[in-house]
Amino acid sequence: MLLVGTTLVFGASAMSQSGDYGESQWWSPGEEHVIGDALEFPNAEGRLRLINTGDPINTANHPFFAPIGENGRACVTCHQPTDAMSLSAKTARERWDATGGKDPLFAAIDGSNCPSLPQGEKASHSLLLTKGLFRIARPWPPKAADGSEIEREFELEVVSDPTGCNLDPQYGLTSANPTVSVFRRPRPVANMKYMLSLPHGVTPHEYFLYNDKTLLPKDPETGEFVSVQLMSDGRLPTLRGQAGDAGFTHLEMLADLTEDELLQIEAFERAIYVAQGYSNRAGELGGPGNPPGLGPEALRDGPPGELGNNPVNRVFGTFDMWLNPESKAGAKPTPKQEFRASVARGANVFFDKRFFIKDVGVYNDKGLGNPFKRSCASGCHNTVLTGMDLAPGFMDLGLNNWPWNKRDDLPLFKATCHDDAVPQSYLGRVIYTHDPGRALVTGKCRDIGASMTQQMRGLAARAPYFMGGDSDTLREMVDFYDRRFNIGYTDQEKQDLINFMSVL
Amino acid sequence: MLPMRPICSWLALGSLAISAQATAQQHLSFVTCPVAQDTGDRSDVCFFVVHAGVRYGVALPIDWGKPQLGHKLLVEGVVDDSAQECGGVRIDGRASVMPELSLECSEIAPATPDILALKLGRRPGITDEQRAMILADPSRSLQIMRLPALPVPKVALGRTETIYFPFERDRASGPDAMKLLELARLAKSTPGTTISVRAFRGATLLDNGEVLTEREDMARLRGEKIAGILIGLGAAEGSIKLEVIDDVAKPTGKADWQSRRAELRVSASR
Ligand code: HEC
Repeated sequence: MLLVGTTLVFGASAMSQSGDYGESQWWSPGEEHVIGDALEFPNAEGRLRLINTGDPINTANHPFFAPIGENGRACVTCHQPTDAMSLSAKTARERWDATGGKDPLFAAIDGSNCPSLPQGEKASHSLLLTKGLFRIARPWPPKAADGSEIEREFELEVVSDPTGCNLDPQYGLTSANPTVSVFRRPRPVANMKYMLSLPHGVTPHEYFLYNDKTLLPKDPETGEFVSVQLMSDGRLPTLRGQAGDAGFTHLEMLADLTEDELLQIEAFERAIYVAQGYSNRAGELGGPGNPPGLGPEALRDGPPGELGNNPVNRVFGTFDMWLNPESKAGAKPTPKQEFRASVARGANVFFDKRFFIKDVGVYNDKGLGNPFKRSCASGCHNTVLTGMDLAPGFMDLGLNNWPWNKRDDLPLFKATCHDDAVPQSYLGRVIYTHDPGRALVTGKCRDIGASMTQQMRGLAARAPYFMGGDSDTLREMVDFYDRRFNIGYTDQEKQDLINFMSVL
Repeated sequence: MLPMRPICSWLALGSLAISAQATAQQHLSFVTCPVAQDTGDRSDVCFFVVHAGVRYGVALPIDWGKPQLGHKLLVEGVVDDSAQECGGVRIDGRASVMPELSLECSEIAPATPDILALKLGRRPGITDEQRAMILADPSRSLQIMRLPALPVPKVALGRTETIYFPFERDRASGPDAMKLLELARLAKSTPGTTISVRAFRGATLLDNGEVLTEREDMARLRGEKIAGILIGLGAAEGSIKLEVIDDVAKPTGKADWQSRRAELRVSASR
């Protein structure tokens, strides 16, 4: 059943084109939409489908969608349904063009490279416009949730500061409230049961972090252990804590969210599932006869917190029915059949093709050995149907720290670890980093540059990829891995992987 | 001195170029670069070391912490000539990744026919039955197939459990974390217990006469971490008696890895 809200109706013409897929799908804060059972949103690869397992929602007065802060934003500003509940850089550019940069999306606080820059100029919002990045301001030295200072194992120095914010007298590292500004992509707010469930069937890891066998954090309100899959640095492990923090930081609220608002936000976040629902080239993605892991219904019905890196589950289930198109006595496979076969081959590359995973901080050193020879799926992306690392996986893939990735547009810090600190396993005690990641939470030298794996659903709707928006396209993402781990994918394998990811 | 026997000849794999002979029952303790051994397209890497011309592999407990390129490896154990490990003579004992960087440790040995013949590091593939099941009903591929769980260790009041650690690490293995879970459960379910945690730091006498002593705060780090874990798992804070033993026992060159440990005991108070 397709219950279309007030925004969205599309015809066959909108589906067949890639690239231009019509009207903007932007939802402004406070705008009225009805989220019934399901909504679809066109994107370059087909259509994203969002399903709602809760009661129908009228967004007009819902705290996720209403501009309840001081700056006119709502949660939906950065978590747009059309962008798989994240925000693509393309959408940010469209908003700029549509509003001349006046949309609250571009609020100085974190929608610009630094609040001290002249607002309203494109250059001051370049990271959001080019890479979909928001400024995340973290206290330095790190502070615990109760405001107490965490003992740090390293010193931070600003080596280059293209946004000006880390050297800024008001906002920077030497300001009255010493602050580190890093720039990160919004993470999709959907399919939350997979993010929030503790791992099953891998005792003792529903209590312990795999890496260093410390305990997982606890929900401050219930005292229960929580997964640390939320946020790229795990700093806010519950939806409530996260929403409260987002209210202050992103919405610039002056008061706490009320209990009722928190309940409504959390209920909504837990009720929605997103995945690509229709592929321009593969056709309908869910339903009988198709791979059972595709479409948001699979996520709704699937088991959270399960390890899928075994030969039966293969993380996203089987794609075999698409692998060898039945052809009637020599008939050429149709383009649709060919594309489906490519997706199925991509699923196999994802699961089967091993490579040397080497020098990944907080990963190879967690007992696995360096190198560890595994595939994408069996190495890291192992949570059934969503592909996070169930372990859970903070790691420095090489995106945040030099030498594997060097960015001119992001701040660069030199981290110098104290002599008595356990060094970062593969970079030692002097590390050049664009984002210290988890170490901004723990203060630990060995965590510098580590971040949490993300879910792999709705990818076609939310480029660019990785926490720092490093890859503008799925192709660039695959190329990064190929280069980083010297995998040697053939062009065909790359295309198959891309096609596979485009239907997730 | 223990009797010495030459290692059986099947280990002298042509291309592995084992020149000298290892001797069984011999205690070894040395630091060297580990070498990663590729074992084929569909199997895991294993690690070996070459010491005095002999190729050795160290058999390690589950989740103990595998060797890492980029770091030297401290090998401590007893030669076992009855088995091979990673295409080398097996050493029963422990291997520790040294914390500091050693970038010269960077060798990955390719999978040669000799190595492939040993069929190392294989994982179970899909069975014909499973394949047929999925073919008949693709949704079965999303019914979860769980790995066998780690066995639940039996713990008892008044009995000492010992957890060993790699050199200068405070990370317990998965099975040791299971012990901590069970000890905390035992303490919680028995009113009025105390948990004694005795944490040590260790030293190792190497074969070359050198002594490696762990950093000064190692016993404290281990002890506090374990105490924190037990409390986090529900043991009452006041029930934990932590003893940090900073004095290092004199290493002997035999099983010195056992000096890096923590001893835990749950007892009913009088
Ligand atoms: C200005 C943009 C912006 C606004 C507004 C915003 N967020 Fe976010 N959100 C982000 C960014 C950026 C991240 C990732 C931060 C990180 O990883 O450090 C994020 C992450 C999250 C996550 C974690 C998802 C995951 O899987 O890790 C949740 C949940 C979330 N936001 C909920 C909310 C809620 C609820 C609101 C409104 C109260 C809100 N957000 C408002 C930008 C925003």
